Amino acid sequence: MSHEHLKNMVEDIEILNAEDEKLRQMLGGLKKVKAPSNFDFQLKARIANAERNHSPRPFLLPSLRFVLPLSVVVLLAAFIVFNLSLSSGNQTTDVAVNTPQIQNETRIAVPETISTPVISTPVIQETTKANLPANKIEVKNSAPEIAVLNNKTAANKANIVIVKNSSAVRNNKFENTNNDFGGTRQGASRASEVITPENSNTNFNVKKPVEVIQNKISLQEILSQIGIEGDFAANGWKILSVKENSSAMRAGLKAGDLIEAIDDKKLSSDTDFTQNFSVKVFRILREGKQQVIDLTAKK
Amino acid sequence: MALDKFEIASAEVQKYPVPIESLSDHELIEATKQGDEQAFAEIVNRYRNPITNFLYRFLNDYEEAVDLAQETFVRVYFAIERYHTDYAFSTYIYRIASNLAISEIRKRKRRKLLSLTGLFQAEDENGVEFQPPDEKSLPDEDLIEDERSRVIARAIAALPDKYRAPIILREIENKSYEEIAQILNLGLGTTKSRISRARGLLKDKLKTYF
Repeated sequence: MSHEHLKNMVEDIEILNAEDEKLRQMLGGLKKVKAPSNFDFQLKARIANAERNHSPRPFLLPSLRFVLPLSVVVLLAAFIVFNLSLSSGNQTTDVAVNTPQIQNETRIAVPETISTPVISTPVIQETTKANLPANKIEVKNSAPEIAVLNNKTAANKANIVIVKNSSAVRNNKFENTNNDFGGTRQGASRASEVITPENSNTNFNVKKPVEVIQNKISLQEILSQIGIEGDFAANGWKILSVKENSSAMRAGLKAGDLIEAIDDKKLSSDTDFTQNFSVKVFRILREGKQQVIDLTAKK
Repeated sequence: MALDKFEIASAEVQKYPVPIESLSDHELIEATKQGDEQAFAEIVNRYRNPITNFLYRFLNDYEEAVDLAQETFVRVYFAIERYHTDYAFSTYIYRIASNLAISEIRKRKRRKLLSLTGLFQAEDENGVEFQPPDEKSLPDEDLIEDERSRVIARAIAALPDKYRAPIILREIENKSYEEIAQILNLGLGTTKSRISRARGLLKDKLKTYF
């Protein structure tokens, strides 16, 4: 049985081999095709043509052709967003500059390079370094408390950097009133002060702040800042009105008072303050009697 | 004039101390890399007929075969700097030719071109419709032989791509299994298997001749 099976297998294999051999002969017997006689000529022409049109390989890989422009666009967008965020930060701090609550905890200084008129509230002047409690003076150097504006455009116009340690500011408790005490953006934007801590790390070109305000400030401006509307009379400035809740009202100044001197400086129609001034003590004439009113005294 | 011929002959003698026909493929390639067009012409001379024949059997279209053969040499010429002598030049040039042929077949399928091959090609890749010849109408031996060659050529061209190249290289171009495996970038076992399968398909198509 197995012998017959093996015999059949051998026969099948022989048949297969014969078929393979015949197939091999059939395929091998196919006529060989040759290239045409003008093959070389056509090939030379083709190579010459390809050489003329042959352009060097592009410098960039195909993927980089898209990635690089995309990166540039992304970087540009990031730059714009960054600038916008700085601008919005600048505006926020502007409001904070004139808020009454932080006045006691801010320190004003003007970079020596700034030549634009400087307007400073008298209240801020009261809180110069000398008047600040020691613990608050130290605070101005603490980095985490520093809010720095870094906007080149804004810096060119009004460099304002505020250093604050005010819990009121942190908690947004400051009042954003519209009186002349500040709290208005107009009042803040008028100012060109740089309020910055010593040793603060500001990126734009601000010199180390100085303790003096060099530029002229009119008396009317100063009075307006503390809530007084006045006009010059014969011997001084007559108070026409005092705004509600202003420093002047809290200090006890009233309409009808005649301000003769501020900090022992006699007033005239064109009195202005240039440097090293501090509006603290008012000498007034009320009902024919001289009185001294200290704005810094707590009522 | 005679002096000119003598100078040219001397230069050639200096350039090739032996006849250029006796140089190996790799030596010719190196000379071509140096800008010697004569060396490249010798390469073309050696391979134009085998490559044209291979492509003709693959595509069953002589004009297309000649065109792709020329394209093969153009590719070789412009990529000559990147050629490494790790394996035989014949393997390299056949690989380029087979890749071009396969690309052409795919283009045809995409364009749905109806070539002579297409008449026998079914919708799916592996299916092959084949009509055996009507031998009764053949008048004499030459015509019979011609007709038989055409039928065999059609049967080969109707094979699926993956079987067509191995069987042509093995049975028509007489390449070794190892060389076929290198040309087609296949394993040796896969190559043998495909050749065997191609033989089986061809025997089925050409059974009237067995």
